[in-house]
Formats: sequence, structure tokens, C-alpha cells
Amino acid sequence: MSALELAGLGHERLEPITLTLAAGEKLVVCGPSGSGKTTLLRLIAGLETPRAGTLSLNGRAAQTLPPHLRGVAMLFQGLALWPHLCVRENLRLGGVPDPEATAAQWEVAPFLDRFPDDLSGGERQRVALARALGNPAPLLLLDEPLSQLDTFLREALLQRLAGDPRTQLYVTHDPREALRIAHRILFLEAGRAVQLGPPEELLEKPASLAVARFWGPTNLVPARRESGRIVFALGELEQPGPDGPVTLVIRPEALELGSVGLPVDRLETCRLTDGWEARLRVGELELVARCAATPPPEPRLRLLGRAWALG
Amino acid sequence: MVLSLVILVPVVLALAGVGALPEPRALALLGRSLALAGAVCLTATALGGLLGLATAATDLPGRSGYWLAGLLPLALPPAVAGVAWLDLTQQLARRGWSPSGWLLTGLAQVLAFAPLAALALWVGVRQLDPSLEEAARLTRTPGRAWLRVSLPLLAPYWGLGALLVLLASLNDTALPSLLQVHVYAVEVSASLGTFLDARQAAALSGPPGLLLALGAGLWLAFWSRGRRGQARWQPPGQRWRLGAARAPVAVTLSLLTALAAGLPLLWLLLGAADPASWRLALELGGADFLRTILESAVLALFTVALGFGLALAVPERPVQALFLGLSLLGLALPPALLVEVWHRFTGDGPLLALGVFGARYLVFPLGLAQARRAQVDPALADAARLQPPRARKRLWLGYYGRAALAAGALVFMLSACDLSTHLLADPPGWGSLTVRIFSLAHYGRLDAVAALCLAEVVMLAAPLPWLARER
Repeated sequence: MSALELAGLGHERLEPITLTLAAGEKLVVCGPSGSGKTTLLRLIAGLETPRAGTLSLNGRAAQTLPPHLRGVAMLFQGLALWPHLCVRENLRLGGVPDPEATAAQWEVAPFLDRFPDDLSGGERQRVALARALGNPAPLLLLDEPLSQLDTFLREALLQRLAGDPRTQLYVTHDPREALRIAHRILFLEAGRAVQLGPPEELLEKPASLAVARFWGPTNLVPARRESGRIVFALGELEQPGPDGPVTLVIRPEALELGSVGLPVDRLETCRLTDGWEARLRVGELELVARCAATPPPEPRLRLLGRAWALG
Repeated sequence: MVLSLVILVPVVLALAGVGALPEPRALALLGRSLALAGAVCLTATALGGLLGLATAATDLPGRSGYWLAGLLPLALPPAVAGVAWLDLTQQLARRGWSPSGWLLTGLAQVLAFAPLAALALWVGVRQLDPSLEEAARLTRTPGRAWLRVSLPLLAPYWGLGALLVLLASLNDTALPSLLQVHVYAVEVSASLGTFLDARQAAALSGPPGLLLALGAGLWLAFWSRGRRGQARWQPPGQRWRLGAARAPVAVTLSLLTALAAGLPLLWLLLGAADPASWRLALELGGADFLRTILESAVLALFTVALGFGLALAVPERPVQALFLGLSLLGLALPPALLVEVWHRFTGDGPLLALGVFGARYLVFPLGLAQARRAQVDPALADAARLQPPRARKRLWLGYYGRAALAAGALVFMLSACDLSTHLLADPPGWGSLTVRIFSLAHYGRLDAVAALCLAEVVMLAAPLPWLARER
């Protein structure tokens, strides 16, 4: 039995979506600002009225159920902590059965008797997480749950969220969070679902420029397809499709700077935590490449990984 | 410095006045007046609250129309509404039914002052983050979520509305005088205005002044301790779906607005249909009309400049709380007392009116400026400071311009309608339209005042569509 099933569920800001989530599955929802990510979560929670379609939760038709009977817990983007209630009351009203135990689990026990206005941004975010995840609802709707946290805490909490066995819809703009959490990713653009699939598919075969750019700096190389064959400066590629101009998406990791390939005309490097990023010019092309070690002097460039044609 | 002159001296005098307690007859009158004001306060706050809630964020059809019609009594000076009610009672008396003056005064005051409660609650609803209630609706029924989250967060605004209605009712002299009900405010006003007995006026002003000051202080303590989160102006939305409650809410609001604005307006339109009344109006009140516009505009400018200056010049919260408390006190004290104090400094000149009206209505621009200041993101304020002076001025105007205009419009309307302060503080020979209408009505010339009333209503209602606009 599916945990969540949307059949043509639509709204003024969201074109109809059809989607099924298995119990325990984690779906990351991505897309540019205003693409309808929050609206989708609100529709599922019952805070917006759908224009069309049906929604079922755990096999039960739910589109007419009021929010409190749907069995969902939600973390709002703005946190929505009740300012007139202390943390303990926030947890209690948020449906957490044992506020003390949950507070200890989420390291917010020292703030139990304090009010949200008296907490820092990170503390408030932890309280909001405790309120949403301490609720035993089987479906979690998380709208950018880690956006205000420092890297260390974010990593720790990400691990806990990834380990939570419940079904999750997780909205994020961060590609690393998406890769860590997602079983599948739904990418929305201007209220339309443009791609749904496992993270690897969106990473390697993006359906649009926005999907390609979601993952960070990406090389977009203009080329032309003729009889299913695309020839470009760095190599050639066979990808069926209509003849005509295409844009090749090449991940920075797919490029290698070494002693083989095309000569690099100009090179600027930048240190990253896990290697180097090189911004380079090859003929008319401005490209970006990632490498584990310092690029050699007078390097040459070649395509090692895959390229994907759009258009 | 200005505040201490405007407010603190009257407080000291009010306290001194307590030494000479009013006689038992006056105290009994005070008891009856307090009972009337209490009943008016409860009813007007409930009805005004309903209007504010229903129009701020529900799916009630035609809510903008209800809002505009509901605000219209603000543009009907109590004297004008009183004249209409007086005429209605005389018509009823001719048909052998004479309702109690107290009941009629209470009803007229409820309808006249309910918009104050509506305005306060409307501001509160628009500052309430809708996601707070939505978060509670995930675990509670909509009704319980509203009771647990929205109601407590709106309570300070409801309290503010109740306080404003109580102050307006307790200090109102126009409606009781016209409907021939002797209330405490009339007694205080008469002791100064008719008998020129300042000591007696101070003594009479003491008890209600202290009671109201206590109420204002309690509310302020409640307000400053209240936790309302990050205040942000929320866009209009259909936050609450009325469902089955839609019909009774619509009927209640239709009745309220029809009685509060429709009845007096109908009376005015019928009376003003006679061309003779317009000739008489021009002859008797043409100059008063222009003087009232001039006086109210100057008062609004002065009060807004003072209120916004105080709110923006000293950002510290305790100082702002003190300013707000003192200005609330200025509204709470009977006008007779403020007149008596200011008279000692200014004599009978135009400065007397400026000081007394300023003390009475400073709370509105000050409160609006403080609310706006709380909404402006500190980063925006810092960004403005980085700009050259000309650009900075434009940015500040963008941040505070609308709030200042709204405050100005409110002070303009309230000061133009304030009969007792006009009677006591205007310079000799300076007639204002409200006083002219009151005098004509008082001497039974109801047939002659409809056109004057209509002219005043049109003048005062001019800012209402702008005030009611969605922003």
C-alpha cells in the first residue's frame, strides 16, 4: 500500500501532478523560488484547496479530510513557532506526546521553558524540527528544514533525518542535502513537474537547464545534432533526437585537466574543501572543471565522463 | 519636553484634584456613566471585533464594502449621529413610543465607536502570521487552533479596541447632551465651560481620569509583555473560511452598518434634499466649514510630526513604552482638565487648541509609527542610512509615508468630530462646524442642519476609501 498517492492534484499555482510514494520513501522536492514546492506540501497537508485531482494517504482518500485528521507533520519554511507559548507548550500543541523526551533527543531541553523570541535562529530551527519530527505522524512534510543551521549541525541532523524510517517530502535548494536524503527527486519549474526520478538520473540526464543548474556550476556547451550524432570540441556523443542545435550539459567532474587533450588557453584555480575548481578557456569555450589535485602547469583538457544533450 | 508639558502637568493636577473628592451625587452619576461606558465598551468591542475579523481575512463576499460602510461612523461626528437619533426619537415620541434616553445613548455610542475596535483588530489580524494558526491546524480542529493560537495573539489588539471605545464613551458629551441624558462627562464639561470653575473640573476629572489611566497602564503592561513574534504586514488572504457562519455574519454586519452609517446618512440625505437647507447651511456655516478644514489639517500635521518624530528619534523600547503610556493617558484624561492646564500656559489663543488636541490625539500617530517601525526590517533601515541624503529621504518616505498619511487622516477625522474639545479649547469667535451643528440642533433647528451635517460627513469621509484600501 502506498503512503501517499497524488492523481492529477492541481492548484492555481501548480499544474496537476501524479505521484505515488511508497511507505518510508523520501522524496526531495527541488526547483527555483516560486516553482510551487511549498504549495505542493500545503496541498498535501490540507492547508490549500486543490483545484482538481485526488489525494490518498495510506490508501485512504484524503482530499476532503481536515488537516488534523490527515496524519501529517509539517515543518514550515518560516518555522511558525507560536510566540506566546514556551518551547514545552509549542511541542505539546504540535502533537508531540512526550515533550521532555523529544526535547532531550533534539537537544532543546535547556530551552523548554523559554519562548521562541528568546532563542537564536539555530535554536528556533531545532525547536521547529523537534516539534515536527517529535509528532508521531507517518508522513513528514519538511520545507527547507536545515536552512538556518551551521554546517556541523546540519550534517548531524541530516544524518538523523536520513535515518528516520517515515515517509518524507523534503523541500531543499541544497544539492548536497538532496543527494543525502533522496530516494527520488521531484523537480518543479513554474508550477510544473519537469522531472521525477532517482538523484543519479537528474544529475546525469537533466530534463531542463534549471535541473542541470540545480547541481551547481555546470558547463553548457552549444552543439548541433545530426542523425543522432553530436560532435563538439571535446569529443562526440551519440544521443537520439531530432536534428538541430542542442545544448550539451557537462558536469565539472566529467572534465579532466592533465597531459592529454586540448590545450587550455587560460586557467584560474580556486581551492575547495575537497579539491580544486578550475575556470578555464579552451578556444571559444568558457568551462569549469573540478579536480582532486592541483592542476599541472600548462594543462590539457579532455572529457572523461558523460555529456548530456538538451534540446 | 513637549510631552511633559502636554501630559505630565495634567496628571499632577488630576492627582491634586483627588484631594477634593466630588460630592456623592456626582459619584453616583460617575457610577451610572461607568456602567453605560462598560456596556457600550463590551457591545462595541464585540461588534467592531466581528467587523474587523470578518473584513481582514475571511471569504465573506463583499467584505471591502462592509469595511468601508463600517468605517463610515468615524466620519460621522457623534453630534451628527446624535442629531439623526434625536430626530428619530422625536418622530417615535409623536407615535407614542419614547425609548429610554440611556438606552438610546448606549445604542448610538455603540454604533459610533465600534469602528475604533474594528480598526484595532483589523491591524492585529493583518500583522498575524497565518502560518501560526495553520501549524496548529495540523493537530487541532480549526476552532481549537483559533482559540489556542490566534485569539491570544489578537488579545492585545482586542484590548486596545476596548480601551479606545471605553475612553470615547466616557468622554463623550455630544450624544448624551443631544439625547438629554446627564452623564459624568457633561457634568465635568459644564463645570468648566459653563460655570468656569477649574477647581471643580479638576476634582471631577480626577476619579475617571485615574480609572482610565489605570486601564491604560494595565493594557500597556499587558501589551509590552505580550509575545507577538516578528510582526510583518500580511497580504490580504482568505485565512478563515466562514462556511455555515457566512449568512449570520453577513446579516449582523449588514444590520450594524445600516444602523451605524445608513440611518444617519438617510436622515441627512432626506433633510438635505430641500434646497433651502443648503442656502441656510452656506449662510450659517460656510466660514465654519473652511475653518474646520484648516484647523483639523494643522492639528493633523502637528500631531503626526510630533508622533513620528518621537517614535523615530528615540528607538529604545522602554522610552517608547513610556511615550505610548503617556500619550494614552492624554487620551484618557477628560478634555476639560487638559484645557484647564494648557490655559495656564497659553491663554485663549490658538496654541490652546493645538496643545489640547495634540495631547488627546498624539497616541494615534505615535502608535502607528511604533507599529510601522517594528515592521521595517532593521536591514532596510541600515540600507537607507548608507544612501545619500536625497535617496535616503525617498526611502524613509517609502517606509513611513503611508503610515503617516493614515495617522494624519485619523487625527483629522477625530479632531474635527471632537465636540467637547472644540467647545472648550477653540479661541473665542472661532466657530467650528461640529460646534455649529451641535448648537443648531440643541436649539431645535433640526430642519436647518442636514446640509451642514452632510457637508461635514463628505469632508470627513474623503480619506476613508484611502484608509480602507488594501495595501
